[in-house]
Amino acid sequence: MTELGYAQAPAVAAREGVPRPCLGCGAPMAVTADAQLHADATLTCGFCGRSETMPAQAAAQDRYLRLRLMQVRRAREGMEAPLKTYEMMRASGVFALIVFGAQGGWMLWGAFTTADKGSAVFGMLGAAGMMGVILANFGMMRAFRKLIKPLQQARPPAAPGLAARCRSCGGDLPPVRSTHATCAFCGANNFLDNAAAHDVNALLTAEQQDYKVRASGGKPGDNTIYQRPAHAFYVWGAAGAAVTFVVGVVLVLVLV
Amino acid sequence: MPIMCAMPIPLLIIVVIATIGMFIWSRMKLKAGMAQNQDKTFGAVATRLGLSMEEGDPTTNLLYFFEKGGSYKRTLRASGQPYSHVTTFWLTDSVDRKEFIFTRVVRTTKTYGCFLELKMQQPVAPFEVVLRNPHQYITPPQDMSDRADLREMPSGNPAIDAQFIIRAVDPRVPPALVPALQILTQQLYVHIAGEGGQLWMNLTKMGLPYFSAAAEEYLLAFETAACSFEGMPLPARLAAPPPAVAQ
Repeated sequence: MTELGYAQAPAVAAREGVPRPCLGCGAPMAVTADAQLHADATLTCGFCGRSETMPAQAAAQDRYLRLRLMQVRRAREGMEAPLKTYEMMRASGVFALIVFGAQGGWMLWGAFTTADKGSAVFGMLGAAGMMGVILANFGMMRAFRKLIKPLQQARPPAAPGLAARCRSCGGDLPPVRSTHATCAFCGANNFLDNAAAHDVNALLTAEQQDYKVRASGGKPGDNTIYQRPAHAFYVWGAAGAAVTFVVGVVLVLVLV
Repeated sequence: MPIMCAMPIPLLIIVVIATIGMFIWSRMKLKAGMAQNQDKTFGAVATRLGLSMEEGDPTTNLLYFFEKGGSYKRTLRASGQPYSHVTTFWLTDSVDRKEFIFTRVVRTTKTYGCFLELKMQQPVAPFEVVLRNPHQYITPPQDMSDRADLREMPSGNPAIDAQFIIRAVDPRVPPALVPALQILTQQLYVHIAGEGGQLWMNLTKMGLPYFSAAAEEYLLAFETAACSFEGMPLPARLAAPPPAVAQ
């Protein structure tokens, strides 16, 4: 049964890999799906320019597959929505670090150079807050690197020499020179590294194993993992501020 | 407190510059966001749905949908026949601000309405579908909540019944809605209502961003529901359509 509750039609599965020669010049025709879902897909020839609209049944099947990609995209976007908070915090982190770093450094300096212990301890409060923000940014980026980046890694190519595949929909990724590639089918951002080129067999085996585990219901997805960087921001921030304050007060009491 | 009073001038300048920089950066970010989401303007959404603009400013961005300043009234409308049914997408909102100078009273009257509508060739018994557990900030209005003749009915699909509340008069309606609702299982904002020869979705301001991101899927769900009611082949299908339930 399919997602829409109907029996799987063998014609759709068989369409994969079936040649589509142009009736005009014999060259292979490409299936051109309009960006708009309501538009029927067409067969076009890049050589003689012949264009044929797919029959209604075939167009409906093609639309069904495009809809499936949209649903995969929607599910991924929903799951990864908390990362928008991370991106916003990270982007504004530069300004926070400039302001809080400068102000925190000055307050720390003030705390240690003042002769009055009461003022020094009070100054440590502000300095602890500022250090907390700096450490919060550090903790957030660390959590992203350790927890999220591995999840965004592209799938390895199905065979050596082929393109790496999208981590979300499995489609071929476009050739790029950077470490990130955006999937043309589902819009997922994929991280590319050397592992995808060198450990192909190991990665493919791991991928197959992962599917088997998922299919048997043995590995429920962790829906909270994309919230972890934002959580790390608060945890590292609070811990950093507390440690800075305690250490600072002790130093103030000893040195001042 | 000497520490609080004696902020050095260079530090003060750094803080002021960083604050102004942050403000400018956030404005640039908003502008870039609007530029990146040009496919979510009313005109672009209409094009994505295969509809033609009939009225209003097509550059109005539905993702960043703001009220204008002062008193105004705007209506945006697009219609067409992307599949086999006539479809209309329209939005209207207004602000009427009256200032009474002598009594120092300001009275503001606001209106807002946004609907996706699809005209069917045959009437259908009244029904309304919403998510069973919508997010607290994106709850759709229920246009038929006060109608006692509508009762919650099972669709026969446990996954759909767990996710949606289908209130209907005719027990044949919920099963016919299943293919349409399966298209919307990933959506956080769902409202489909139908009566007579019309299906519609009532979009709140909070629901607009969700609709603008996935307008094609909502339209396809509407078309699928209409075809399902009328016993026509579904627009995205792998097998034969279900039997008609239109009245």
